[in-house]
Amino acid sequence: MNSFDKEELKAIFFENYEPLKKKAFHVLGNNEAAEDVIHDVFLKVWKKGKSLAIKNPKAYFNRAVINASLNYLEKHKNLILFDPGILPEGNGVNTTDHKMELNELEENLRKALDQLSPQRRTIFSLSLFESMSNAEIAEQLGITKKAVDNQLGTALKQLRDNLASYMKLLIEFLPLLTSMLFFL
Amino acid sequence: MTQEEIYALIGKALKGEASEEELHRLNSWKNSHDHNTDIYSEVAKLWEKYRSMMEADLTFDAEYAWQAIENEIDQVHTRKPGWLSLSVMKVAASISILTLIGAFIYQQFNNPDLIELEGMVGEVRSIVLEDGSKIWLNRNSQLLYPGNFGPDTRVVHLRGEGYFEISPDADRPFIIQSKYGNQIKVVGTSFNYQTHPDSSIVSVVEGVVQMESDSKSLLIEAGEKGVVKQNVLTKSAFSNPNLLSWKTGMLTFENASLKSIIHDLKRHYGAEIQLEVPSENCTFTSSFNNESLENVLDEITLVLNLEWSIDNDKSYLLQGNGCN
Repeated sequence: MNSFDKEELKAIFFENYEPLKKKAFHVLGNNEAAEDVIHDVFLKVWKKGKSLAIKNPKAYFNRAVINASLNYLEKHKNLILFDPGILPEGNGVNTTDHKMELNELEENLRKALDQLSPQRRTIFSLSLFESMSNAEIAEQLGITKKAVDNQLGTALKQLRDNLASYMKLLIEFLPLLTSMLFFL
Repeated sequence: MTQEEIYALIGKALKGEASEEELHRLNSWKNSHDHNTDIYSEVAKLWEKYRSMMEADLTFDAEYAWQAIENEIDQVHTRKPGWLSLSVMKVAASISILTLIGAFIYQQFNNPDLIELEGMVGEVRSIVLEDGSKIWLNRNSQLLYPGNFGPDTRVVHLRGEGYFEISPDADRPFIIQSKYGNQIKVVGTSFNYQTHPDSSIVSVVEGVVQMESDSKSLLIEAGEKGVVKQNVLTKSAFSNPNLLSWKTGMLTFENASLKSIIHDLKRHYGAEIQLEVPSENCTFTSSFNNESLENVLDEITLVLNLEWSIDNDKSYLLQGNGCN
């Protein structure tokens, strides 16, 4: 029934999985949700059975995954975003105080990100992690470049305001911790 | 510079997108006060910290992810398409050409090459297509469009309501197919298009739209609306100032009858509103810019001496003897 075979879809999947996973993850901040979105997008294409006719699979899937991720956010308003899941253990710092403080900082960084509106967070994430230009993001989200400029600025302001009490730690303490990690 | 402008500029600078002139402005802002220098370095630190932190969270497992997809594919694949027997297909084929058109359109709505944009509950979405055309999609509507248009036509599919600003391209007409079977064709223009199961309405703001039914086609010009209902195509002048309120957020009522106000409010907010009044003909004048429905109802009921309430199903009720 399908006019293309599984091997072809598989090739497209393996070629694009990592960049797609990154995009979905950076919109959703959650590994499981990102996997769900990719899974659904590929299955949808298969079920509709015509993937051969997609001229540019990379561009198609990029766009489809970002749209699907945004739809996912709409439908799962209670999703725990930026949930680190299980983090790798024992990253070297023995000083318990420092480690606790670092953990607390990270926790609050995640919380602050979670508090941004979905669109703002998406713009911030695509900027930071995907190195997408504001013009590219504007095209992808169907808004003006000026709106992206402003939303990114507002995201930065909101993050800084919400994290004001951690700024001292971030600026002074972090380089120290990082260098400690380096020597241990 | 306002705070907003400064942060937008910092964002651009961090991304390496700021122009020479913008960097210059940012620098003179930074140097104008120690506090400003601090703000900049704090934001830059946050930027770096987020990058290192989030990258560590991201995991990849392509094999596992593919396996899960493959499992489902195999399930789908082994299901035989035996439910459509030959005789059934013969009958189906002979029913009518209209069914075929319907099936074709249905198929378009299941075409994997097309990207899906869905208007969310309570949210208007917009998108810029590959050719530069801009589309605003109303709540609870759906648009299907290709990543790239073909060489001869630009075809999209709409269910529900959208506002279209089509980039001119005389060689590639822009065609909008309604999920329910009508289609309109344009070259470069701005208009609102509503599709319903039993009718579709094009209201043209700028330029000309060619609207087609099965038996004829009409040119709808700026200031006119074309309506296809039960396959009959007609056109008339359109004058509702709130036609595009779903997109602009602005509602304007000028000596508007209560009946027409309720009609516009229902459409604008996607809400259920009931009227229990002796007469629907008293009029009201005011305008609202991105106000909540509750605020609008407050003002209307105050002016017209009515009362409003809401029941559990989110259905609003306006009642009273003020309007008679």
